[in-house]
Amino acid sequence: MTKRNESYRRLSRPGLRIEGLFSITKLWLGKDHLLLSTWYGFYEEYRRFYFKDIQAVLLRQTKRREWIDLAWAMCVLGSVLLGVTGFFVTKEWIWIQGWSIVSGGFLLGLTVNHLLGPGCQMILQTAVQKSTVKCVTRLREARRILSMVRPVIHEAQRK
Amino acid sequence: MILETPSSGTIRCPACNVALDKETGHLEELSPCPACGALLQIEIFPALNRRIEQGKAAESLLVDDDSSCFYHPTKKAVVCCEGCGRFLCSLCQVELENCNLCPSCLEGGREGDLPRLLHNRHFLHGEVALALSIFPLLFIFPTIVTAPAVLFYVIWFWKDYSGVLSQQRLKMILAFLLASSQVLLWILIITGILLRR
Repeated sequence: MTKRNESYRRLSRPGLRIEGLFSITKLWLGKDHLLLSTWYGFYEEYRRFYFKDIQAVLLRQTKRREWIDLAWAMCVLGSVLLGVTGFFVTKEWIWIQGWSIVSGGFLLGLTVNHLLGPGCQMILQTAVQKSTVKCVTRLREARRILSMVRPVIHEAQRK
Repeated sequence: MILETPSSGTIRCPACNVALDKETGHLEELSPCPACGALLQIEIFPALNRRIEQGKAAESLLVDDDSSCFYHPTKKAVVCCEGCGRFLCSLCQVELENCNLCPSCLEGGREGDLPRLLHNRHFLHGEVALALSIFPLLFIFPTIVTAPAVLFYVIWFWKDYSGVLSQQRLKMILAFLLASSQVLLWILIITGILLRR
């Protein structure tokens, strides 16, 4: 068993961020706090939210799923159009076959994105800061995390 | 009624920044913000309504025999720093993980061995070693310099491999093995060339 597993349990999937620098954020459940880690390649940064200090967790539904669905749908449409156009120009079935595989991949992406559920923004509020948890982008995942941390936060604040 | 507490515990809509009322504040399902209509779910915890305790004021020295604070000679010492042993008044005492520390030990702890929960940033030596053992492979010849450098780097930083989360030891071992095989390969190549002559 590694040290990491002894101290922290990962709550969220890794979330990619491209804001100036490429980075990966993850949310971890610690003994008495939530840890938001950001990986920048050769170093990691950490932010801690102690259970006794968390005042509120806000979830805001966003249009993320709809926008990503739209992008995938455009890719599907584009690949289908390319295949059909190529077939009509060359009269060769290879165009249809090749592009149908590509559009099938895009369709799979569209389906997976849609099944992941509505997008959301998760915000942790303490007395001194309000921080967006950028690795949590789906409502279902946010509610799962909330249901896991709710009892421990209440327990910590009851003391 | 607007949710306000002494610790500025107001809940605001993340979209329009309008303060939300108590009825909106205790929702367990998505509900529209009264001002902008953004769909929100808000989970409020007791800390929102908790008053933040004020820090204790340091007591003045009344008798000469009393120990005084190292940083405030006119104030009475209440505790000993567990890092350096200096006497501290209640103003200078900082409690962290059941350990009483003075501000300078706390400051030193950011870079040193003191509690890991003070570490907000960690340099990942394993990532550096691994990158240095893989990327020069693309150009082959730089490995004659980088492979021994990686071996040195891994040995030098062997004890400082771990961040708060990342397990770097496996990466260090992998980098060491890769660099060793590169060094071995160069030795074989150079020996072969020398023997041919």
